[in-house]
Amino acid sequence: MAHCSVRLPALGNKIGTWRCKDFLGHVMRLAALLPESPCVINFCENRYLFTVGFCAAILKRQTTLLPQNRAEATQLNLADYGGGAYILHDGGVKVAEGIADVDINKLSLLGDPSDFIPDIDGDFLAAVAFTSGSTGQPKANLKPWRTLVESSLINAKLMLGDESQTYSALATVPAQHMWGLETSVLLAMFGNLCISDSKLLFPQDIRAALLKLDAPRLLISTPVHLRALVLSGLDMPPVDRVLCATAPLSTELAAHVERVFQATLIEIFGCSEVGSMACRRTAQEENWHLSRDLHFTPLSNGAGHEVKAAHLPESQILGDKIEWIGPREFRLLGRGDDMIEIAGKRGSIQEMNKILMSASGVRDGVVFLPDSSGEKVSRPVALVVADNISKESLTAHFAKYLDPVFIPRPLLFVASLPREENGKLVRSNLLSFFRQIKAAD
Amino acid sequence: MAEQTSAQLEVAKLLVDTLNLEDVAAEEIDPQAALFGDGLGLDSIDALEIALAISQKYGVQMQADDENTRNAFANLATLTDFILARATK
Repeated sequence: MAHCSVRLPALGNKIGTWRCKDFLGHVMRLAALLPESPCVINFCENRYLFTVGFCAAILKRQTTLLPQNRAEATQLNLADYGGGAYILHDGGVKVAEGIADVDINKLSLLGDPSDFIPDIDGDFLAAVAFTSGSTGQPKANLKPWRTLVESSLINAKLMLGDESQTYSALATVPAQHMWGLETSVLLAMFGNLCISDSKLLFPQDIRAALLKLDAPRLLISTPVHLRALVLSGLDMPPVDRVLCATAPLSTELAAHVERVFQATLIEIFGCSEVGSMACRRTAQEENWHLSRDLHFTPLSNGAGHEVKAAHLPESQILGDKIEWIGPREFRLLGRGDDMIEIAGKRGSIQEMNKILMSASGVRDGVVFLPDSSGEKVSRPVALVVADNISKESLTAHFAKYLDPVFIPRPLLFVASLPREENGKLVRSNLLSFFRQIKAAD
Repeated sequence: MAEQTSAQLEVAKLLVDTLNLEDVAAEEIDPQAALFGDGLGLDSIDALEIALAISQKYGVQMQADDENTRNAFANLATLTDFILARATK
């Protein structure tokens, strides 16, 4: 079920394809070795090891926690969640002091295959996906086993189309984020998908890995990675289907990807709370097609929609601005204001501002997203009024709480911010102030 | 800090332009200082942007499972040497 291309000491440096019964054997053996605990934080970078760890935890009735990042403060915050958690990893993480950890690569998991298919309680809380909340506290999105199974069956129809063929898939996104979990982990379990265990970055590596996969191929990615792939100028092997999510994709880039890979590119619209919700063929159409199983009701205050579905444990509020074209067809006018997404990671600007203001020595300051230009990643910018704090120590302060992609850049010290008399910071003033500073530089 | 060579300055300018490092001057990047982690504090998305800029400007492709590429990203000096040894443009 999984194609292994990296060295896995614990699984005997196996290079090749694991069958379902090999996988079940690995899961059973790992479940027997895991410590007793209500929850586990799964930081495995290798996608196969992540999946083995995820399923072994379910067998032990341990809830897998999926944090937004690996920062020390995040680990310490989650260590007591839901009665306590330990960290499962494959060697690539710096574990915060005082938290128990298990390195899956130090365990012996090889052995006989297994045909035992366990019965799993649908209401068991299999995973909690944490996202940045507007309050500054991470928001816990609960994923009972039933939700994961039923949404995966829906996703298989939405994303894979013809279900008779088995795709060989490669993903450029981590298993820990909802987009990566839904596709690279769960579609491999509930759809006709054989997934590579690697998480590749550079176009040359992705090309080499795709060449090793049997057709039909499937690529699971994001606009950031796809842009780098097509601009690299490398000849790419044909890919039947490209799935893209996490940030808006332009028609031009979508068409470029379809040409370079001779592929059909399906863009998915989703969020951590609900999962995948709608899709479109971006190169050919602007409108989104809502998944049959979801029901959107406009909120009476006009601030978004309530989303309901049989497979969701509770209804969710979606703040995105939507214009309906037909009963199940819509245009996306803009996402909720506070959240920004970089390479599949979601951050709250409000949370970044709270972190900035919590640094000692910072008198005033603001973190904001400047106007983005095209497909290039736009980073949050910080303007800071401070005494006695260096840029290095302020950056280190951010690094304790945030994923590196959200650490503001540039981080500039200023004498004061262009506040209105009532103390308000108007976005247009802030942007022109920022342009002046850049021009003066 | 060690003196930059002219080739290192050219690569430093490419880094600053590519990554919008408005608060860093190309001339001030220490050739021996770490690019990732504690040094310039770059991350994997930056690595992808740098790799793309280098492939377009110098015709050099980076590969993560190539030990040379991993070493190349250590600092400005190693990145410049890596490019000079392979440049086709």
